[in-house]
Formats: sequence, structure tokens, C-alpha cells
Amino acid sequence: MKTEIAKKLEKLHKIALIIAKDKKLGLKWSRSAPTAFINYLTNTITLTDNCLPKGSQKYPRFYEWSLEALVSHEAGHRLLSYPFFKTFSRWIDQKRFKNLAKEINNIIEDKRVNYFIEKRYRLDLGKKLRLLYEIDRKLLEKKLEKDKESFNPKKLTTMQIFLAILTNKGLYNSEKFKEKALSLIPESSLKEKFKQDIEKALSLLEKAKFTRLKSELLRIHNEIYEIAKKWSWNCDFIEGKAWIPKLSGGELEIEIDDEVGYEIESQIEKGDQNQEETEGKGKSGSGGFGKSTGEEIPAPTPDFEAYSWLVQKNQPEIQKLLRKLKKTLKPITEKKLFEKQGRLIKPILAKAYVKSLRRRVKRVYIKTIEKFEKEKASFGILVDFSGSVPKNQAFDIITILNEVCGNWLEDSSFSLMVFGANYQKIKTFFESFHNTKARIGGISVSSYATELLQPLEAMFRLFNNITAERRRILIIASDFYVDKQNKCLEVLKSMLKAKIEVILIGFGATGNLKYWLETLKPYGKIGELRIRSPKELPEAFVEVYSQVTGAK
Amino acid sequence: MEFKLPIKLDKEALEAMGLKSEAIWLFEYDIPSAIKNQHGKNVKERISQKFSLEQAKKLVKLKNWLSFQLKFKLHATRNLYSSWFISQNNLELAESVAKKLRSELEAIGLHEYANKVRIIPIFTTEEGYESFMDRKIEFLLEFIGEATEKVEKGIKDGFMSESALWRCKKTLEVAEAIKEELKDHERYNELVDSIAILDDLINQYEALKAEQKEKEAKN
Repeated sequence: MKTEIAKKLEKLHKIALIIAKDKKLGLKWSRSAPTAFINYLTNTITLTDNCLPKGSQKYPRFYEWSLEALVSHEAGHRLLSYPFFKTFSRWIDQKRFKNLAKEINNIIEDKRVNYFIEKRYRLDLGKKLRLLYEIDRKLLEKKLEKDKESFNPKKLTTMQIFLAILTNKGLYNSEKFKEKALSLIPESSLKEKFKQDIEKALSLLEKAKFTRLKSELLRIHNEIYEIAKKWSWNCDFIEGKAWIPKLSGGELEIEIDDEVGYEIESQIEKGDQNQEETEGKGKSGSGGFGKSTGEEIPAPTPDFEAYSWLVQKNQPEIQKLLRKLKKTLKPITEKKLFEKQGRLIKPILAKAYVKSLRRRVKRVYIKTIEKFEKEKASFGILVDFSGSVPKNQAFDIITILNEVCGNWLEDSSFSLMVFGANYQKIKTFFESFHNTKARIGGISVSSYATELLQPLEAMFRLFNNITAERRRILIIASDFYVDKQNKCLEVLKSMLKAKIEVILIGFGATGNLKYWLETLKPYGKIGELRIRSPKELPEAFVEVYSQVTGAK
Repeated sequence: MEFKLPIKLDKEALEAMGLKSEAIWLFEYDIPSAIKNQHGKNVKERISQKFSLEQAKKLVKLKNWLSFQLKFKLHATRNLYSSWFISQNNLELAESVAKKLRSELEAIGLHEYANKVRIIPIFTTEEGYESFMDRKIEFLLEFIGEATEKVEKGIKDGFMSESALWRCKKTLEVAEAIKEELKDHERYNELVDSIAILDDLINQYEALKAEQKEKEAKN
């Protein structure tokens, strides 16, 4: 049986894999490492709690969030910094002050990664990362007030002050630290110069967070290095990082006191409340009706077990629909190079032979594979999970459509949302089918209303980003008794005018479907089907799909 | 008009020589800088001696027009400053842009520069192809980065111009359209995530605008 720690590490490892998208990325726990880090040579993240503020363990939720934030930060390095690893290693080697160059590289990369995680995962991991840095900033500023003895110009060099400001203002956004640190330098013309230089370095750092071009990043590295070098007084940075938090590889020990502890608890509580509000109050069994917000709530937690059961249950329908749809596709042959089996690639034969004298040579074959050309259309699918439709049928329909689209279309060709009193995105056009499919098992929209308008508008926005050269098809599965019906119909009219084809799937009590069809028919290509059970879906869907799109 | 390679090439022979059998198409030109980059001087003082004021004005307009056409209409990605990768599917459109560019340059008497506008196929080795793909993905990431910065500023200020927003949306569309070509690149996942960030920011900005409108309507 797995221990608690092993389970926690497994969860953290999953987070790392999701962010870095590298299946070979490893994760290990270290009791002695001063801070969390990633080793690109072994492709392993080393995680530790030594860099967290002292006393974090007293606040278990904060401790858990912080570890998740740390792992997401390091996985972010794998995604963003790793492609430049060799370039910047060479850059550091070429510099006279190697320690200084390394510090600058760390700060810039941390800035880029933090910005990326905060934006990409803004509703979850981004929030946790922000909270961790925010708490560290507060503790740093408190220490600044208390520990006047070690924050002293006699104990700190200009280089230490420079790098501490760059880190604490640049990464932690501590304006207070910047002001106090600048006040350590005696008034003179040099101070003015120092101030200007630090401002310039900070603005370059700010610019770096949007930069992805290697040459541009190198330019920023060089400029900050040249600025910092002036204040090193010809000595490489070896004095230590006294006023840089441990989180950023510094030496600053900070401890959570009661005041900040209270702040942590209230911040986490606030975060939880927001989550509950967006998820909609009154999930099944909790009593009381939820407010119909129509807002988006975070994507469901994947439940592999539940999803594989659903797939198994609906396997005959999935296979039937796939078989029927594949008849509309062209079979194509494709040559794949560097395979493990097949016929030899003649041009590399000599090279492969020479290599084979030293080690076993694999992947020297060319293979011709036959497959079906994927359908070139983009599908947006909305499925009703409100109380008025049979929930088991809704689950069956969404599973069938998801599995069929996942196998029939390219990953970027379909998007899936579910709606009730609020809505959840199961898959956007940007996400991969394999990463998102199990979310269906964990759908948690509130069923106390049928707010179609917001998800419909969200889907319209997603469609707007798809080039009009591709066929765009919207599928709505519902009983079509929805709130703000007229507004929904207006949006659908606009979609039809924008040449988006619409297929309406009626299930449950579908008396209203006729009205929808009649209202929308004059505006563009639209088709409808009514099913009493998901078993009828394959036949009916193929028929309507052929009618709407003209596919044979 | 069907665009054809000037000579027919044997795919297998190319592969046997270690060359990539697919051609990479480049749109190349050489438009002179009419306005020099000199700080502390006004525009009139910075105009190059070689050109008249009329020519200089036209050249600036032409450069902006071309950059717009390349980025947003042709979905081209930058290789060097005056050399852009274009997709084989867009060759006809590219030829019409080149034609217009040539005629505009000739109209202001810059015949020698008109002759330098060209669309050429390049055959390269596998390594060369990979390095071209590196340039392509870097350009796309930078392109998205610029748009992200703009939208971020728009959200902060609560306002951005319609044309700037349109360009950002179009950037998203271009990146979406090109990304599949780069599926095997090591930075592909970074590209996908960057697209998702930009899309999310645009949605946030639009939600902000809708909220503002709602408030204005209530008042």
C-alpha cells in the first residue's frame, strides 16, 4: 500500500507531467537540498520544503499549495527554459564573471516561468504560485522592519544590493524593499547612476517575460549583465545572497508569524469560497438551490475509472458511428521514416552500418502505413446536463461524441462543453483528446437551471479563432428548454450567418425542438435529430450530418 | 494560375543525396530604408538623401502594407529581415502581392528594387530544414508574445483600439493555422500553451469590455 507521502508525490508528479508534457520527467524528494530545482541532464525535478518559509507545515493547505506551486514552477522551466539550456550554458561560460551571469540567467528565467504559469493556469496553479510569492514578499518586508542590524550598508556590497533589488522587486514585486535598499546607498552622483541602472534592468526584466526569441533573450541577458558588471567593482559575485529569499535560491531565512498565518488562512478560505461560488452552490445532496449564474467553472477533475466504464458501456454505438463516418473519408498512405520495422532507408545505410559497429542501431527503417485521412472540419459540441434531461443519457451522448471525435478528427478540431446552471469546458480546441477525455467522468456542473447563452457565446468566440476556410460545425445536445431562449436563438442566428453549420440533437422531452428549427432554418445550414435512447444516435447522426454537410 | 517549380526534381534522388524533398518557399525583397534611425532628429531631417519626400512617404507606407500582407494575409513567418517563409498553398496569393509590390516600386521609379522582389523555392538538408523550422517557431512565439503584451496592456488600461484587438485575434488565427506544421518540434507544447494564454487573455479583455458596456447601459 502506498504511504501518504508517496501518494502526495504521485499527485505532484502528475502536475509536473501535465505542465511539462514530457512523460520522462522525473520527480524526487530531497530532505537536504536548500531549494527546489530541475536538473536538465537527468531530466529530474528535485523537490524540497527547505525553501518554504519556516512554519509552513503548521498550515497544511498552504504547505500543500506551496509544493504544488514549486513543482509547477520547476516543470515550467522544463517547458520554457530547457530549449535554451545549452545556449545559456555557453553564454555563462563565455562571461568573465560567471557567478554573476548565472544569477542573472536564473532571475530572467524565473520571471519568464512565473509569468507563464500564472497566466496559463490562472485559475488554479497560477493562483497558488502567486500566493506563495505574495507570502514570501510579506515576510521579507516584515524582516526588513525587524532585522535592521543585518540590513546594513557596512554588511552589504553594491552587487548584493543590486541583485537583491532585481530579485525582490522583479520577482516578488516588493516596492518597499527597493526603496529601503536604495536608501542604503549614500547620496551622491553615483547613487543617481545606480538608480537609473536598476530601473533599466527592471524594465528589461519586465520585457523578458513576453520574449521567446533566443536572440532577443540573449540581448536582454547581455544588457543586464553589462549593467550589473559596473557595480561588481571587478569582482565576481561570490559574497552570497543575504537578502534574497530561499525560494529564489538565496540565504534569507523567514518565518511565518501569527499575523501572516492569519492572512494565509483568510487567503486560502477566500480561494475556496471563490471556487465554491464558481462551481455553483448546492451540488447534489447539499440542499438548497444554487444561483443560476451561467458562469464558467474550472474544468472537471479527470476520473479515469468512471470514464472507462462509460466507454465500455457505449462501445457498440461508438464503433458503429465510427464505422459509418469513416466511409466518408479517403484512405491514404503515408511514409514514416526512422521506424523500428520496415524496409531500410538506403541513403543512411553506410552511416548506420558504421554506427552499428559501436552500438545497436534501431530506427533505420522506412514504413508505409495506410490510414484514413482525418476529417477537415472543426466541431464545437455543447451537451445539456441540466435537471430536465436524463443525466445517464447525457453522459452516454457526450461519451459517444467525445470518443468518436477523438478518433475521427484531429486533436485541434473539436471542442467540448457541458452546461447546466453554469458551464464547464471539457476540451478546448487547443487541448489534446488524450489529456482531457477522462474529465467527462468528473463533470460537476450544477443542474438547477439551463443556461445555454454563456457557453454558446464562449463557443462562438472559439469558432471565431478558426479560419473560415475550415468547415465549422456546432452540435447542441439538449431538450431545448433553456433560459433566455430568445437571446440564445439570436446568437445561433449570428453563428449561422457566419457560415457555422448547426446540428441539434434532441433528447429527453424535445417538444420545443421544432420551434428552434423553424426559427433558425432561414439563416443557414441546420439539421436536427431526436433520439429516445443513445442507441439511435449513430444512424440518426450520420443521416443528418450527410444532409447538413453534403458528405456522402 | 498554377504555381510550378521551374524544373522537375526527382524526389528519391534528392533523398538519396541527403536532401529534404519538400521545397521551402521564400518571399524575398529589398526595400531601402527611406528614414534613418537617428535619435534627436525629426522625421524630415532623417530622410535619406537618396530619396525625395514623396518617395520616402510611399516607401514607409509600402513597408507597412507589405508587413501586414505577409503576416496577416499570407500567414508568412519571418526568416531574415527581408525574407519570409510562405506556405506552398499560398503561392498564388503571394505572387499577387509580389506583383503589386513590384508595380508600386516601379511607379515611384525604384526599378532596381522592383527586380529584387522574388518568390523562390529552397531545397535543403534535413538539418537545414530543422533550422528553418526553428526560425519558424521562434517567429510564431515572438509574434504571440507581442500580441500577449498588447492585450495584457489593454486589460490593464481597460482599453485597446479595435484595430489592435483585431490584429491580436488574427495573430491567434495565424498561429492556430500554422502550428500543425510544427507538431514535431521540441517547442511545440510551448507554442500550444502560448496560444492558449493569448486566447484566454483576449476572452478576458472581451468580458471586461462587455461588463463596461453593461455598466454604461445601466447608467
